[in-house]
Amino acid sequence: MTKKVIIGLIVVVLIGVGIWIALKPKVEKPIEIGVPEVPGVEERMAGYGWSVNGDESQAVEEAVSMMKAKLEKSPDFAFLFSSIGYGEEKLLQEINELLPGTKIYGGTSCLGPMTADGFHVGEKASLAIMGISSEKIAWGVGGADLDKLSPREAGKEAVLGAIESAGKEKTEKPNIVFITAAPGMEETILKGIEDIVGKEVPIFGGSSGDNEIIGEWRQFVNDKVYSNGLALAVAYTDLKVSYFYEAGYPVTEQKGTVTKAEGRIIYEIDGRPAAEVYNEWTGDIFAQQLAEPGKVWGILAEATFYPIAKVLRAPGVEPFYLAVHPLDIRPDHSLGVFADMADGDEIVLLHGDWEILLNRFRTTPMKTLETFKLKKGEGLFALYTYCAGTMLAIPEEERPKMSLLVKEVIGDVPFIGNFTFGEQGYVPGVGNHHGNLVNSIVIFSPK
Amino acid sequence: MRKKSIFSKIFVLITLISLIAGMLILTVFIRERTRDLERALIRENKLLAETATIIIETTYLEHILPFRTLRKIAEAENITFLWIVKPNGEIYYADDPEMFGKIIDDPSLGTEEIVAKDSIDPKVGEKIKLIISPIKREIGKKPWSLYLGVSLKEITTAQRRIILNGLIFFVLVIIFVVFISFYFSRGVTQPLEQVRKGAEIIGKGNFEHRIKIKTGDELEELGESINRMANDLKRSREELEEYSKTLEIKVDARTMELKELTESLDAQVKEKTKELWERIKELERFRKLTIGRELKMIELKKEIKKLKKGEGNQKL
Repeated sequence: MTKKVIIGLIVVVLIGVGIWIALKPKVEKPIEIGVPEVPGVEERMAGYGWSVNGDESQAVEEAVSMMKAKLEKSPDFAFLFSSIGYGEEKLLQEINELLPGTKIYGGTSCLGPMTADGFHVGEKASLAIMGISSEKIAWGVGGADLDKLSPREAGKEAVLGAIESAGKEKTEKPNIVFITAAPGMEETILKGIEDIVGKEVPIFGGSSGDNEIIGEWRQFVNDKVYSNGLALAVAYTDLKVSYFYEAGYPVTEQKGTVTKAEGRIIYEIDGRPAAEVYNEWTGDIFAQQLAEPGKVWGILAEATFYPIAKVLRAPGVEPFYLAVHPLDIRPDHSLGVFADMADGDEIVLLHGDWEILLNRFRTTPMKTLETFKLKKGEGLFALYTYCAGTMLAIPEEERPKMSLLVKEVIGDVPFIGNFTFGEQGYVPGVGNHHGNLVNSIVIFSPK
Repeated sequence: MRKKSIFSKIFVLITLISLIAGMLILTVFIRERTRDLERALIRENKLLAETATIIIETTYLEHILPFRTLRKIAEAENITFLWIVKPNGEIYYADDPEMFGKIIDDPSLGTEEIVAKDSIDPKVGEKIKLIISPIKREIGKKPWSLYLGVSLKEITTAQRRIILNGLIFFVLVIIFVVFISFYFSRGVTQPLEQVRKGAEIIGKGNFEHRIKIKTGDELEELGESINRMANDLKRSREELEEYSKTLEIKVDARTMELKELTESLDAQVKEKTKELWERIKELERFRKLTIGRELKMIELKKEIKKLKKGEGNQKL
């Protein structure tokens, strides 16, 4: 009897084992994942650091330590971008204490700054700093207060101060100018700068932003913080400076001419109320706003995907489409925008989506490399300026990819980026312009 | 030692065989069903990967990546990860930003044909199906690869559901089989028990008892044989009893004869005894009457004794 029970148990166990083997998942070799080799930091002239710490002292300590670890010596110059939320004076004081003698230029960025490590958004605030240490570049910084000076005068004063700060003569034209201004008067500021350096010196930058367009933006120059000012930097260098400035939206067939405009308001397009024409062009998406006159309708979010573009023509070059962001529909069916418009401006409707906007983090750097015949990884450092409105149009979960896409194209090059409320850039043959919903990149590289 | 009944032996055997057979059938069924689901999952996701590849190839010509499409694919319930990998193994695009720029080592990298294989999710360590689709970005160059990690959770869930349903069905079948085997076993063992009991009753001498089995098989024949045997035994017993009775009558008759003979002899003895006693009495009277004539009397006594002796021999 016992023998039979044992045999029975053995049979059951064998069958059980067979079933287990039959149903057991096969163990496969997992994919091996490695990290690419990073070149040694000793060759770098630029280094960056960042922090999402809400405390000014700790944030500066973290970011500067990170940056210094990538540099051989203390930087001559540093780009500094932060979100709102810090005590900016304290922030700059801390930085100046840790980086004495380093020229500081920068401002606030919508939500936070970006580096090659990612998009840095803190619970309270965040910052990023990129220091440059090179004898091949002479940096100068200057600033001006727009509450005290006209925009044009402010542009002049800031650039003159920067030239002086670089130890150069007024007649010596810098290779490039960077600006961070309070939003509102960028075109006039550009004219002021051009009054000093001429129209052929590229001016790149973006208007400082906050998180909700409520005037909390700031501009930084050394230890000075402006709330309605202009921060400016000039660079004199023998290095190669490559850049690209574009909106990147596809151009639609909808086009017209501004027949009545003043400053940043378009009253009429082709002799008709601008908002009505704009609504027709966009396929009636603003019908509700037009049906309820008597109030100002903010349309920033919807208009992000339907910018108007000024068609800028110049001999020998392709037309350039300078994107302008419609801001609101007014009771008189005029259209408020984020850039100056004038009678006779030829305009077209652009149309895009967040996919196009996210792709710009690849396509704009790619165009830079192609245009200036740069190879991936050849850059020494780069500055990225990206419209905050277009960044906000990208789904939040996709935003961590922004800097990764840039890095994918330009290679292992230190860069810093900010998200702005208006972008300024230079288009060869067309000149310096202020636009909206635009992005730009400037890459410094060996000649 | 307690003997085990045939009923329990048959019952346990049938139940055990059914249990083993059921387990095997269930295993085969689950395995086949799982394979079917896996094949369907692979087919579906291969199609997804091919579609994504076409979109990537098309949009590449416009220098853009189809983020919306890739996002939609990555958001699909079964997709655990999505990578676009360069021929050198560098991840060019990933749904998870942490994977950007990482280097992978996989033998299927750069495949010219779409591949589906088992693998492990490098992040969570779960078993997955890996779909690798070639992205032909530039003619004459090694293709890039679209890696799609496909979760098997759906299959696992379905497998669990199948196992659960299968087990419920299996238990029901086993219960049914137990009942069937119980009745079957009883159908076999009950007539045997009847035979056993009948034989026992008959064995105790009740030859009138009859085993009534209507199974139409050997058991019925066995019952009938025992019944016939009981019949034979009964008849033999009756014959024996009859013989016994005859013998008794004969014995009684002989006994009667002997009794009568005895009684006759007794009567004769009594008569003779009576006669003797009368003679004795006469002699006594005579003795009394004939005093002195003792010698004569002795002689007479001797003669009486002689007579008595002669009578005794006659009796014998």
